[in-house]
Amino acid sequence: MRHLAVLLLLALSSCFMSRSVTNVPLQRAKLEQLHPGTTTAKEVVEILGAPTEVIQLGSRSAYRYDFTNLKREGFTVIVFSCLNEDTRADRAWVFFDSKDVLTHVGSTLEGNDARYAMPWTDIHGKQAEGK
Amino acid sequence: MARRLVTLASLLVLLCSGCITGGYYRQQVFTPIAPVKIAALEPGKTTLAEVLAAFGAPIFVWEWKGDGAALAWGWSDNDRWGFAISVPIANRNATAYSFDKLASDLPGAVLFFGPDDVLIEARQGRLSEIRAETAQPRPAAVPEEVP
Repeated sequence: MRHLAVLLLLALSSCFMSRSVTNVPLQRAKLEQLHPGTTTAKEVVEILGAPTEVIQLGSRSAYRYDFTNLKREGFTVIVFSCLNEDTRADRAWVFFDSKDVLTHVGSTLEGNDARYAMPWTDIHGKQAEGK
Repeated sequence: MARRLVTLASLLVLLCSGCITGGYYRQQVFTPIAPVKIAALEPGKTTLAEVLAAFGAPIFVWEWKGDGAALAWGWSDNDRWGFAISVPIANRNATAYSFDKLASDLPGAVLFFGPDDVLIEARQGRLSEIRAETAQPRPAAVPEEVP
């Protein structure tokens, strides 16, 4: 009977990993082609493609580009589950003046830092201290 | 003995069908901005360029007071113990991953810039609440009449 219980416990446990991505990773080399003061909105779209979002800021505007990477890992033993979700993103915002000339670029490239891990694992170092 | 085995098997079938689950869950979303960086911001002095260089790209940007802009950064690292009972009532999946929904629920920091791209105000809290208080709704575009 004890052997049966152990066998059932082993047979009824499972591990799983999954990944969800939104859009495609941003490329640093392409972002480096953007020059505030000279690059136009038309050129930005030619270099980066269509933005995810366009925002009107009074007479000015801003475009968002992003890539999101969500990794899940966990296990289940009969009805008990442990699950970790880690979401990281590449993001870029480009700001234009009223004549559609680039004024500012802000970028964060962390999409590939998402990790598969158990929930008790400190995968990003001292996360609470921030970047 | 046979009856006990049948009872045990029935119980296992119910439990193993996934209707009742419990466990430990952790959700980590984006990298937080260091509190020391937020504390170092100087309204009236810090510029948009300096903030973008120090903080990276925001999650959201919205229009604020005409030509001004609000930039929002959010992050989260939550863990919890819990259990769930699920009863499928329809053959439909309503849990599609939504980046904007996930991100708008995050706590974080929102920085407000004037038309000259100089910081006016910094606020911390839940992004969706700050956005609801400060975003200005735009009227819908008037449809053009077809001649």
